Amino acid sequence: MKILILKNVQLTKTCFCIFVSLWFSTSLAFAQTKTNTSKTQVDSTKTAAPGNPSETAASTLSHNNVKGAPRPDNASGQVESSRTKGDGWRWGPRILFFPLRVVGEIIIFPIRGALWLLETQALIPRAKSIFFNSEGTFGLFPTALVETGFGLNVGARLVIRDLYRDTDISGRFGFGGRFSRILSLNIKSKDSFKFAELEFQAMHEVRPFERFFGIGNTDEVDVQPTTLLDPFGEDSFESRFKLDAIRIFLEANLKIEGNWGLQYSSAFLDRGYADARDGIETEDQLAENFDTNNVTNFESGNRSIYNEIELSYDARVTPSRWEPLSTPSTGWYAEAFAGYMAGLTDDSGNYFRLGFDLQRYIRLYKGPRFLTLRLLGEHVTGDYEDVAFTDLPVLGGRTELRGYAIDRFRDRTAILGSAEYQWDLLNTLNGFIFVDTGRVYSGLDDLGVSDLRLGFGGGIQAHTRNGYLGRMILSSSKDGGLFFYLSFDPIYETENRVERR
Amino acid sequence: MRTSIKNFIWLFGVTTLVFSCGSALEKIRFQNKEPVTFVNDRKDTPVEPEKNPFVRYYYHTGSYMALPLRETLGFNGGKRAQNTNALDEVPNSTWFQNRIGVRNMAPEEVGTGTNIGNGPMDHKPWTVVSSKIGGVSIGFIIKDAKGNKFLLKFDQKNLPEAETAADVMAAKILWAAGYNVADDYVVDFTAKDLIVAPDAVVKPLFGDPSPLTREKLLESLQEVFIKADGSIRGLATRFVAGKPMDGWPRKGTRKGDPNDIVPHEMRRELRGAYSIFSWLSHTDIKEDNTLDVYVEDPEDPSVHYVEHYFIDIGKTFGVQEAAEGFRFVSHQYWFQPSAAIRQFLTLGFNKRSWEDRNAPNLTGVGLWESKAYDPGEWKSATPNYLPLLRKDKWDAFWGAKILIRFTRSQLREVVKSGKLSDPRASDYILKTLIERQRKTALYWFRRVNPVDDIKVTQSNSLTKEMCFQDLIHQYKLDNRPVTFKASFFDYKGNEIPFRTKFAKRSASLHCLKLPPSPTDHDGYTVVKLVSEREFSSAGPTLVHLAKSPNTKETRVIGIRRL
Repeated sequence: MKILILKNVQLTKTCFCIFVSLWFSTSLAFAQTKTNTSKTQVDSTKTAAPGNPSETAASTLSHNNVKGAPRPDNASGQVESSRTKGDGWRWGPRILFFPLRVVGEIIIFPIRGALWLLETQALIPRAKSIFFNSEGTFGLFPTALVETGFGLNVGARLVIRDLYRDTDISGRFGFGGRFSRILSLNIKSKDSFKFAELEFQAMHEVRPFERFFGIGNTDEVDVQPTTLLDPFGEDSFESRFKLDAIRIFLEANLKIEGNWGLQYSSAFLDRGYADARDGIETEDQLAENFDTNNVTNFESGNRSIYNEIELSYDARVTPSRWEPLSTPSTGWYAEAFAGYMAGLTDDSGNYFRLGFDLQRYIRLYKGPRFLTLRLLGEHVTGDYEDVAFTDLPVLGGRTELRGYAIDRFRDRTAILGSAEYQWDLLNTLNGFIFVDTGRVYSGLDDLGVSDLRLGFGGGIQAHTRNGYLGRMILSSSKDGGLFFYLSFDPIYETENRVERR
Repeated sequence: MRTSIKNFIWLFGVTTLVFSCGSALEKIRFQNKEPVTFVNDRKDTPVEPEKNPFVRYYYHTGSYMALPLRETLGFNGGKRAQNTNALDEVPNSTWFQNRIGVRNMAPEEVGTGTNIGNGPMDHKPWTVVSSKIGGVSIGFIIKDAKGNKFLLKFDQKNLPEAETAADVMAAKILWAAGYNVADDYVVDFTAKDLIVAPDAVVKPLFGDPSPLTREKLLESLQEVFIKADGSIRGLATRFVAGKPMDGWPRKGTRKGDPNDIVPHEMRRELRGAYSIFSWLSHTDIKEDNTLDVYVEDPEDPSVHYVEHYFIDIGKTFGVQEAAEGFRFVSHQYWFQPSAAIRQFLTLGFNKRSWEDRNAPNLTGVGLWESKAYDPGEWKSATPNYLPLLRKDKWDAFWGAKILIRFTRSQLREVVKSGKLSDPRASDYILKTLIERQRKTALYWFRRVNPVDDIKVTQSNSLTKEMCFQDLIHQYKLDNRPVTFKASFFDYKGNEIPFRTKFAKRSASLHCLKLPPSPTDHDGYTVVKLVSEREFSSAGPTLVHLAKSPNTKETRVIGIRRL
């Protein structure tokens, strides 16, 4: 191999003697110009002591004693100026790639221009001074959010900080996007009380594009049914409906020493259902595809009180100071809850909601590289006619049984098993691949491993050192389909039941 | 079409090969003069040159977007530094003054650096004039009892002593290496030593200043590391004489400065700083951590020009990694898509160079280690500083020659100036500093022919010898044998047939007999000196010799390293 290389070098040398000669002859004019320049350098070069430059000279350097010395670009002492001085051959590829460079500059310009304006014109502090008081404790500012698949949501947010002791108040209203209307008021005690953090929230939201596929672990049909489907039947079909919900709830997070947490929530819920908002084809409406008499509370709506107690144990840790706190890589997370739904109208039943979430983080190597195993279950004790269809445990979407559409499966019992391998790409990015499996059941008696659904996929997660930012998830399942989600909800943080639906 | 592309690539590649490896004797010739040792960049600049404001996010997005685009599609790589003299050295200027190696420096001198006494420690109390502007850390502008102005900064609460020590140590080394640096002191004080000036203000980066009260001052000090006895350790940086401007542009020259002629990315001392910065792990290098100062000439105050300083060098010695909690810093850029893609595609099964980095848990020590350190792969935190991105092996070799000149006793004094409370920390830092120093030097000495201090001696009227030091052996970096070969050429590049003999005069000093000088061009002779050793990819060194028109003695008039 070595000999071969040497032979090639010899050949190269021979060929390039010719090439160099040609090159030099064609660039004679250029070389002559350089020689002339060099002559000027000869005349202006000031001689000094040989060898390395000495500090003796430098320490006394002033305007006067460097007067006769060459200028900084004339120190080389070369007769023929260096070939690296001119750009020579570079102009060819520069011209060749100029259009590409222009395109790049056009793309970059608005980004950098915006940042330049932002900083030089102090746009953020200026905006802050417009929307906040000088102490930063009161603010009313506009919001705008674009959600994939839902469009633009615009609105405003009100923030009042440290109103009483350490209590914050915030309010929000917005229109468009996923919510056709959202209005909320939130009061949080933060550190006002020693024993607990209290949160009160009143919210009215209208979600015009909720999904309903039927009830049970049934297969989806692509062709619209010619007759109304029984939601408990053999086939499921993707349909849409509108959820109009009012929630008023109080949440108390009791402060317990160590890794334990205890949360009590109490909520008033008033929900109504209707056809999905304009823009959804008639054939996609829930009422056009399913027999709504069997979709509990779809016609009548639902008004109830929900109380829940949740016990959690969180021993997830980031064992290395070199890894982000936002990605714990070892430890356990366990949570169990029990809630009671008390109907306030004739159509709303009474029942218990029970569930658990068990997560085990297994650290494989530094980075971190780790495996997350998860087992999750949820069950409602009421009969179908007691439980509003939106209160049935669901699977599918961005967090639970990925690889299936959001709310793809719903029934009285849901079980999910999940394994995810996560590894760091950069300090703010992780990659992940996962397998989710599980299904819904009509009740605890039906539990078994037959007809399990299986989703898989991967993606990239963005985070800061201390907090989760979002995930891009590409997923599919053994039943087909390809889903791309941008998720801003932490995958392994369970959402409070009273805030869910 | 495919053939023509292949031809283009072939021609391009081989041309580059020929021109870079110097298989044919290159055309460069030197004037028969002594090399330039200092340049005139002190021409009067009556009007202060234009500002170069540092717009943080604009600058850093530029590093990731505009800079790579323009560098790549502008085909700007592969150009040699433009301000070296005939010996491939840097003449003294407002940027750089050769110190270590060109004169004897006592260890104490290196350890003292620019310091005058104990700085503000000798002149308490200190009057707080204002908060510091810019940056994210806490700091104040103070005046000592003699009216000298200092910038007072602190260690992070969770990283006591580290940043203040690193700043002072790095400043001592950079100064001795030849750079201009600010005059830094590690200081100890209590809140009682601080007096808040009646007109003191807090200066936010944006918005209007507000009064600085004693309460606000004390509140700020709660954020910094306070010792058990209630005293606070800080870093006091003397304000540089002259009018501070802002950082020098990473690319091109400063507008309005007639002395700023060589584009900064083409300056040897800025490009060659790569090996010194990698040695010290100065990961926080960016425009904002450089400073141009508009000064009066010491002899003629009516004359003004700009001097150039490195400042804010406290994130050296692994402090940035420890302060920010990122082990990859100095091995990988903050955001490096190529690393992310490689990691993604390998599902994390690719082990990265920085993953096993570790340092002992000693007060004042950051993530400072030598085991995983790769002098050729070292990176600043972001790919922002163009001179480092443009550096080539000759620049790094120049820096390596400087850094290897620091002796153990000099470095011990440097570490001592960091005033670390735990002697084990000082010992560890020194040990690692030396390990990294040797690793850096050896790395670059294997890539550029490590011959230096080349001189011609005349033992008798007929016999001339050229002697040189082999740097690898001189600094005992590797004791494996080396073989030297030499060939000789006249001014026109014609080979002079001559069989020379090499003689080893000491462990590292080698001499070779020179052929009789040609009769034309003052006996101009080019010696092509090749060293052959294991694990070396160094090209030859061309030593240009000619007879002095005055003394008629043959001397070295130019060196080209290939």
